Amino acid sequence: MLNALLPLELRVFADAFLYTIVIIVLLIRPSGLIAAKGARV
Amino acid sequence: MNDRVSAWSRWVFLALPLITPLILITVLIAVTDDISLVQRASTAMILMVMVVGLHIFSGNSGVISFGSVAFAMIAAYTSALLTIPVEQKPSLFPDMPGFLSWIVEFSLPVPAGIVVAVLFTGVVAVIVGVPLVRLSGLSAGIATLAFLVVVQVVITKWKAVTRGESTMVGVPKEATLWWALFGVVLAIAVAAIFQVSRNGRRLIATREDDKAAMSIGISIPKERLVGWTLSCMVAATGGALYGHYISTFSATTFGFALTFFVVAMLVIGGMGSLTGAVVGVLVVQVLSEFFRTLETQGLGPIPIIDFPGLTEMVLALILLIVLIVRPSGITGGTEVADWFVRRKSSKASSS
Repeated sequence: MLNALLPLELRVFADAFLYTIVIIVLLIRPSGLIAAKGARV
Repeated sequence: MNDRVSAWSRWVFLALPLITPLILITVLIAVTDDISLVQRASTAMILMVMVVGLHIFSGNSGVISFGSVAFAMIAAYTSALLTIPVEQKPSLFPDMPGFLSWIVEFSLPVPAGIVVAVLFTGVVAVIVGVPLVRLSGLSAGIATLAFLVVVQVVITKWKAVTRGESTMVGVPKEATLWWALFGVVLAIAVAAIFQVSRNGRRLIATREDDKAAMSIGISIPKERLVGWTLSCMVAATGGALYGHYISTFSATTFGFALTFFVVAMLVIGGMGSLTGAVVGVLVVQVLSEFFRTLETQGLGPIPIIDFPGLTEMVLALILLIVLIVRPSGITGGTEVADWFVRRKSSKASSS
């Protein structure tokens, strides 16, 4: 999906964007997207 | 005034017992003039710079980071770009983008290149560190590992600037055993000064009990950011030195294998102390050299063990054993300086 969204010249960096999204998700939700009740990381 | 003197004596007391044997060993190795030994010692000391760098953040904050090698990689490439001779640059970087074309037009002496690379890496570390230091535990580990992958992908794919998957060549091979020694002495001094400084002690307080630290007004993100930036800059010094020592490298040189080695060295030695970082490098390097010699040449009456990957397997096994038997590492989080104090106090109490 990233490959389709990214401009042609940036597609080679798709993995870098993917892992940047991973970092952003961790920053916003450190316990994961679907955290267990009362979970603390 | 007294406080200043005592702070000075504390960091000297912490660093000197580590620096002195390293200087003596280096002098002995230099006297032997054995090229292979000099190479092994230089590599070990450059790795020690990176491990001490990792200790500054992970050891004092208790937050594991897999990203320190990423900063070593950034510094190695930056220093290489700045120091490759001007006459070689147009052929090595024919497609350099316009906004970076100034890099092709000049070349810095190696020491200046290393300093600029470390400062640049420091700026990157601050930018990346502001969000990352808010994480801890497993998420911090995953986020820093993700950052390592991001840096590796960018360096591997940005062919015009980094030569992509091709090896970086033309890097001046100027780092020697003495450069490595200077790097490690500097790294240990910086780590010791930080450890006894106010920022260092506040960071250690957050490691021991984050809630208690917050209750006395310590800002965890702020203290972690200071430690993180310093840690990344020391790791960057190691990376830049490594680049100028091996002179040909690619992104895979600074990949998962090196990350594993650096983290394993710190964990085996003992993450909680500067002594642990130094001891970890010495133990792992001696063991890995021993098994590598067995793999390639055999040792005395022991024949060559034809088992590719033996060194890595044995290291992984040792790491597992240390984690199970002694989770706080060989040194158990104590400093050499503490041993002296204990011996002195036990002698005093017995008399």
